[in-house]
Amino acid sequence: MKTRSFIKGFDLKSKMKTSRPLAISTILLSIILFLAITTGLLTDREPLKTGYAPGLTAPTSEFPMGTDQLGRDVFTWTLYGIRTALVVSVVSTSLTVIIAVLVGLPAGYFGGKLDQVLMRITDFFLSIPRFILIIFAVIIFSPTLANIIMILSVFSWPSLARIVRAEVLSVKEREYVQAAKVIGSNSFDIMFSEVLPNVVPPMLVASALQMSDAILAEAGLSFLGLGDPNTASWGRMLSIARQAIYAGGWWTLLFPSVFITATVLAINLLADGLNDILNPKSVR
Amino acid sequence: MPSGTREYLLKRVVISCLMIPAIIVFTFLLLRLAPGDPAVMMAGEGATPDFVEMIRKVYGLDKPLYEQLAIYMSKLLTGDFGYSFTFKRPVLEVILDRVPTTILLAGTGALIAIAFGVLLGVVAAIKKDSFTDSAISSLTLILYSIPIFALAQFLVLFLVIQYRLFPLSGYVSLGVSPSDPLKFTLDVLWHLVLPASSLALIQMATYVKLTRTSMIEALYSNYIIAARARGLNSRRILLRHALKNALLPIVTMAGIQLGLIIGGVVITETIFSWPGVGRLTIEAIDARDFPLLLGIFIFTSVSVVVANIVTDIVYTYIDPRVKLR
Repeated sequence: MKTRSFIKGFDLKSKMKTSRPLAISTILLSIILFLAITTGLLTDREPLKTGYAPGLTAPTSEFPMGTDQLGRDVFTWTLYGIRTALVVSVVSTSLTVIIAVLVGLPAGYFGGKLDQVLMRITDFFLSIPRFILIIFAVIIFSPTLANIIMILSVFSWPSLARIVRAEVLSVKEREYVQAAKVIGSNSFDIMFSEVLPNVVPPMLVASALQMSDAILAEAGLSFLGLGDPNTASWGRMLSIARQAIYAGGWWTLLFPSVFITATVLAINLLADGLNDILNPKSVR
Repeated sequence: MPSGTREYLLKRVVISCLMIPAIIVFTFLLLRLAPGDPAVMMAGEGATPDFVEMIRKVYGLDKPLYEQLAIYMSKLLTGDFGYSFTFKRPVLEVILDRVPTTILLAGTGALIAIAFGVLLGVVAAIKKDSFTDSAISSLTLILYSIPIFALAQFLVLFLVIQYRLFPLSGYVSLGVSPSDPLKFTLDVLWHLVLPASSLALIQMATYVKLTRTSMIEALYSNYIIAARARGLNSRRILLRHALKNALLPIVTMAGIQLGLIIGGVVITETIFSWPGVGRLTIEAIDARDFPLLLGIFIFTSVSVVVANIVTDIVYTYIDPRVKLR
């Protein structure tokens, strides 16, 4: 069977054999995605509904992961948590990447005054403690899932924009870009059809790390009680666990922890694997 | 100091100092973007109508935007961060009270992380591609992926609830006062173990990875091969030559981490009820004490800027290669 490679010139299948992180990550991500898709078949309970059990209940055949103090089903909430995590990470990272490209691409391509202004703004955002800024913004605007995703993206683009700019600086001196200039293509075309595609590979690693970062940030907000109260977030489960573990409810801590760690780990391994493929010379 | 370094540093410091008014302008704009009456927000929820009107007057909130900004800026630059109605004290005083405990926690956490991170990184580099190396790599990757609010709770579950080795929360036991310095210090350290270890564990992975990479690069570089050829003993090569150079990026990383771990500090202080700035943030949020929250935001941002300046200066001193960039 031939594997279609997503980057020209790379045989994905043979790379999978050589990059162990990528192999493990693929397995983990497949399981996670499978569970996210089949959540509705695996449980017919609602994630945030209370009263399925009289109180804190240890795992049984009826409640495979037990229930919390208010009788919410840990299994159902944990599974729905995958969807929340995936939506948060995919949507916010896409927005982050778009902003980063819109800032980094013209900054690197045109240089000069524009570059200086854009990079000063980038440095400014890079130097403020991000989590406090996010907390502050979530308090000011109401904590709906959409707002949280927006806020995460708006404050996460700077490091990615720097990567884009640095790549553009090196790509724009290459012959094919110079050639496009000579034949009189306009800057917009050159930027998006000649420069941008070549900036994509180095951005992949950073984007993957951005995804795991977004999951942790959303869960962190929810843990502090600043998340969307109508969303099934692992962060809020873990804040519920704070009281439950004193009553012996270790399952309220264990299961969401395992899922969030596995998801973040899978994405971090993906970043490692991509790095192995894209920078074969880097120290391993 | 080599020539040029002074100018370079000066330039960096000036740019960094310009960040401080920028942070204030940014905060101001963010507040204006928020829905609702800014006067109510600046006074805090639960403030009396009289107080709200007073705030409106004091901050000139009925005047044009640029005048408001000027008033706001001049107040902050003179150290007037406003008044916290929950603590019934000036915001800056409330924050400064909590700073030492946070520095104790974050500093201890960073030191533990650096010490163990460098140690494990060196071991992994020396035993590259062995079982030990992959065990260390796997461990750090998992630690890197566990959120601190899960990790810290596992520590609580096992070491506080199960085995009762450490106290649950706070930073000193009831009835222990600073008048008995030895007992007080030991008690604080005992309370410090869990929160500092949690903070250390989540940061450690970065240092392990960094040390391992730069140690491997150093160990295969020409000057180390030359040192080996000269017959220097390997411990001396390792410590005096390889590690010394491998440690340089650690300084930069420590500076970068400072901004990043603030989120971790907020969460750790909440879990362990550690009375620092992080815990204060959550108290301010719960009480909707906006002046205090704003103060904390500006205060931490400025601290990070200052810390970055310090990192820059330290780096220029220890790495003679840094010159005018």
